[in-house]
Amino acid sequence: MLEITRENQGALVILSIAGQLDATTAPELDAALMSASDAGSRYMVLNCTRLTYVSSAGLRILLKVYKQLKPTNGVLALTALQPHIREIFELTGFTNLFSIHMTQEAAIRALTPPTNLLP
Amino acid sequence: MPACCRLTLSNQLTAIADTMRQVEQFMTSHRISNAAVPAALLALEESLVNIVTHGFNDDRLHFITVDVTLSDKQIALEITDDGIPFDPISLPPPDRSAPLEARPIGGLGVWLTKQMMTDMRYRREDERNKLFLLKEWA
Repeated sequence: MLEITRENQGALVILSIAGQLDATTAPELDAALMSASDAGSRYMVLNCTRLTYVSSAGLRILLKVYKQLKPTNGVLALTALQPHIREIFELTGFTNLFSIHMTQEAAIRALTPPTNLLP
Repeated sequence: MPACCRLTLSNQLTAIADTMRQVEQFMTSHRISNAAVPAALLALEESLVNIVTHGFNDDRLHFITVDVTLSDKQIALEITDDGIPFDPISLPPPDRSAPLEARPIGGLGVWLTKQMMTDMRYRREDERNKLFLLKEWA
C-alpha cells in the first residue's frame, strides 16, 4: 500500500510517499509523477521519509521520470531515504542520478534559485 | 527450533502483495525485525514478479508455493513453480560500464536479489523450478 500526497510550492511539486513502493503500487507513483510532469512541472521533490520499501519496479518508475525530465533540465530530488532504502539506491547507482537530501527543506532550498538570479 | 510456513499464490501480479504481507507478518511474529527482513522481502518480490511475468506460456491458472524457514540467524525462502524452466542465476549481470540511464532495466531485480541475499540457488526438479534464497546475519 502506498499513500501519495501532492503539494505545490510555486514552481515546485512536492510528492510525499508513505508505505511500500513495489510492483503493485509503482503504477500509482508513475501516474502521480506523470501527472505533475504533464502539467509542466520540471522541479519535483519526492519526500521519502515514510517510504518503508522499494523494489526494482519502483526504481524503474524513478528512472522513467529521470529520463523524461533530463532533456528539459528538470530535476527530481529525493529526501530522507531510510538506511535500507539508501543501500538499494547505492547498490544500483541511483544515488548518482538523483539529487538526494536529508530533509525536504534542504531539497526545496537546493531546487529554488536565489531570487537575485531570477530575470 | 526453526519455524516454517508455506504459502500458495496464483500466478497473478495482484496476488503478490498479499503474500508479501503474510511473509512479513510471519517474520515479525517471530521477532525478526532487523535489516534481513526488507532484504528477504525484496528478493521474494523480485522473484515472484519474474515468475508471474515471464514464467508461463499458457493462459491456465498456475500456483506458486513459497516455503519460509526462520532460524536463529537465517531466513530461508524456497519458491516453487511449474512454469517454463528458468534459472535466474544464469542471467548475465548488468553492464556496469554503461551509464545507468542507457542500461536496459530488465534484469535489475535479479541482480539486486543476488546482491541482497547471502545465497541463491536454482534447480529444476519434477518439472518444477525451485529457487532457494538465503539471508544470514551475524
